[in-house]
Amino acid sequence: MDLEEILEAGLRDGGAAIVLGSKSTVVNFRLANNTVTTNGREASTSAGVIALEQDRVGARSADVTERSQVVSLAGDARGVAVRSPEAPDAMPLLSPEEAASDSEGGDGSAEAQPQDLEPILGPVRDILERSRQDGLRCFGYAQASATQERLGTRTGVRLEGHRQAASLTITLKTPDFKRSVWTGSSGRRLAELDAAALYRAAAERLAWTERSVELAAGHYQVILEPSATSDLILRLMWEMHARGADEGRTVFAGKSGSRVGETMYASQVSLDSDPSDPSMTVPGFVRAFGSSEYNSVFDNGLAVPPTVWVDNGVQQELICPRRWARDHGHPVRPDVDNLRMRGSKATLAEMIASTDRALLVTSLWYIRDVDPAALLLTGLTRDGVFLIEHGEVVGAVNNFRFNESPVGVLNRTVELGQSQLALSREVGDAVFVRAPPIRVENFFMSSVSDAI
Amino acid sequence: MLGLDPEFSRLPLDQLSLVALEAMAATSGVEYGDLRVNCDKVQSIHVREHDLISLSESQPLGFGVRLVVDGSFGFAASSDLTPAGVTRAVAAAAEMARLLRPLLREKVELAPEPAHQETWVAEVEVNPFEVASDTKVGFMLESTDRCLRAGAKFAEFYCLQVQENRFFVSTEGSRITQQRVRLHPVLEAGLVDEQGSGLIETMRSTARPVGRGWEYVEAHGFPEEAERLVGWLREKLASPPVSPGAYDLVIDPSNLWLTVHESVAHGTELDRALGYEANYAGTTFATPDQVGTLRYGSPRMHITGDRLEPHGLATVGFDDEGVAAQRWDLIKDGILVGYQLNRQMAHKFQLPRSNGCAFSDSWSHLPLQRMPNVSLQPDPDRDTTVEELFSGVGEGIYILGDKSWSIDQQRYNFQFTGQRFYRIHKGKLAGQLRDVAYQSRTPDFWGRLEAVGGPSSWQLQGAFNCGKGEPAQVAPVSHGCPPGLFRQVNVLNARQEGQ
Repeated sequence: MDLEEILEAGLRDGGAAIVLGSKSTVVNFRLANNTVTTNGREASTSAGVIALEQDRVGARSADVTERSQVVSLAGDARGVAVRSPEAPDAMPLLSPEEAASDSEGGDGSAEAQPQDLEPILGPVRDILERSRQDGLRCFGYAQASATQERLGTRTGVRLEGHRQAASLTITLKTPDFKRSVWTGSSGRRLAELDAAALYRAAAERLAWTERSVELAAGHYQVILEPSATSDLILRLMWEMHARGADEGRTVFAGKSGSRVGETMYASQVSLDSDPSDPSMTVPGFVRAFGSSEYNSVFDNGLAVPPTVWVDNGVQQELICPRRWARDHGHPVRPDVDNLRMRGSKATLAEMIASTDRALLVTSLWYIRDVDPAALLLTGLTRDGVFLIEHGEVVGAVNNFRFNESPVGVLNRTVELGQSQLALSREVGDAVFVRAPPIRVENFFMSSVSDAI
Repeated sequence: MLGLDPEFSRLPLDQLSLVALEAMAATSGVEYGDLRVNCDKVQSIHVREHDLISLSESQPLGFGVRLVVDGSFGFAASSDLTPAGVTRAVAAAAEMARLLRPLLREKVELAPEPAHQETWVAEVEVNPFEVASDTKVGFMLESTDRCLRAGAKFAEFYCLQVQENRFFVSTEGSRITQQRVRLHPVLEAGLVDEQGSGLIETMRSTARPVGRGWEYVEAHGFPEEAERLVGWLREKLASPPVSPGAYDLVIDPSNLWLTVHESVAHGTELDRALGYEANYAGTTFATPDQVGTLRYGSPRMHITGDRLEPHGLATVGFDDEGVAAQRWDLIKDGILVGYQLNRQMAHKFQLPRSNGCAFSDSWSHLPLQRMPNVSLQPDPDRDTTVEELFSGVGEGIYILGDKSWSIDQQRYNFQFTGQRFYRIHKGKLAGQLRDVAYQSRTPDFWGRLEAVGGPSSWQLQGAFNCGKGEPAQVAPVSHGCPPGLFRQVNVLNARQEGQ
């Protein structure tokens, strides 16, 4: 089925109010111990159907192959809607004039095919061979995905968006697993990613681990590499919703109202989103199958504009669906699927060279909330903590558990490097992030981890 | 007891399996092949105070084809559940295998398993998908309303319900049809933390995720618990903050299950031990060369793996490689004695058979080695109560309910919080404490296990969302535990950690 057929079946034959059609393809393979382990190719076509009976909502979705399935979904959704109470976020659906005006988002015909793996198979075979020759063990993952989404509403809105993403990650270990480093990169296509460069970077870092330094828990100046920065700013972003702030449930709640307008971070910290950024393009309109603090089904089709969340250390905006905005006097700010942190011109090498003593942290892992009021998180450093002294990396340091809040981290940020596409270790390429390395004072490593 | 969902039975499974097996037979180099059709129903309901925030239902439906071609895995999955779609997927799986073959250094071989032709349906009394949505929403709103009437400033109730149907056919002659149901009801109440942050602090009910139907929700007593929940939270917010230091801990099954999950269940996955997850989920300190010698914990520690426990979240008749469910020891008398295996791992480990730990979270994903129900066994000799465990503590803390959790990639350093913490003073509970987190190193922590509760104190707890693998997969899993007494564990004040 093509996506327009799904929309027609749901809206015209099924009597639905909103239909979201989606086609998605993914190809991938995994590496371990210098060999390929698993692989896969997935292809799915799905329909999300939302029925509205007055202000009552019913939502059903399924993977579909036939028109009749979509019609049936719409019938089921209507059945749920009539039995549901009125939705607290009810708003009139958008007209085509009120909705996003275009359907930006890349190559509409793109699918991730097995052949998409071919450009990197040769380079990956080379790095596996190099790893064997170097007496090392190489582990990794490569993935390419393409998603096409089409939205239709009974008010005449028709929008289409696309997302393509690719990522390649490498973990390099000594055969005894006593030393370990990680590198990763992301983009829109695997062909854009440089496997050989990733391996060179990993090998350089593994060479740094030939000397090891044991350090105790405590407060350190750290340089967080872009992957580590991205994990922390994503955590911050997930809390940036107006409802949580208004209700006094998040770190964005002030003594009276939200902390919008408050200087919460160091002056050089700025965060924004732009769905049309060519290197991290995502659909520029709201697609919501269910309502939450971030989205409302009634906002489907709403344009997602470029948004500055934090400007020079000042919190500027919080995510806010239309109804919550109307009822509480906020501007409407849709959630966006990408995030950028502004950097500077300094390279990581220059930041290292200008360091008297600090820890260089490659990536973070297993990050979880501890105290929502402060957005206190716990997590671990992983696959690369290095001691910098007098402008040089002098050895590898044991891993640590940290207890830190991204708010505190960004408040104690004293230097930023070049912002670049970054791969969150925990989230992968599911969300595009551009982040710089950042120098942070007094980063709290609460205990030592024996893990390697 | 429920029968097999007729909607699933109506799918053209015979036709599709015939097409798949014929296509596999016609593909050169195929040494093994299987077709797995998944049809799930997933309903999510979220209410806040007096409102229904969202009620949505999805039905992932598709199939995966897994081949071993000339020693290389090839996997392709599609939602195109037609004969042509299956034929294309077999070709795509073979193409993936051939494409990746130049990177392969170690041929895939699978431990043998007898062919099974069976239908297995988990025992459930009331299928949640047969309960009217307005009945469920009304029940949930009554519970949040009771929270508000008890003084809560915030009240929400999530309920996630899943029915999972699977059909498996292999070139070895297996043909297996299965069905199971699970649900996770989560009621949470909030009050303003006047003495602390000034923001809303929340507490979750004692309900747990279960391999049961709507009967569990009705029997749990949510409306009554709503009032207790607000009372517990009020007492907690007025309680003194914990002073950091070493304490004797009595850990309730509602908290200890997660420590078992993170520090033991993931630590005894053989694929992690062999490096298959080194790039993502991590490895484990419990390496195969230490089987039979590694002291994981005190002699009181007896941990089993199983896919048989009634109403367990990882309980099935057969895994996603067609291996029949089993029960076995992972840690006995505190010593590592076993691992979780799939057929590939069992062959690498030179064992005659897998113990049935291959699982895929979706039709679209390849089955990975995933954990079964992993449980701490109770004291077999004495039916020790939790009160008897308190009696051996001079100054300690009793911890109930899970909240924050984190552990490193080799399963050593962990940190957990909880829902409620009671001071134990001279063998008796002496009011709540707040801001407690415990942090330890796995073998140290389990080495401090002095006593466990008896069979009557054992509870099955668990989670829906155990993550692992690339692409990432989530799996439901149960962990049974008695309460345990751990001596002198490092306790942090979580709030002070952030200052």
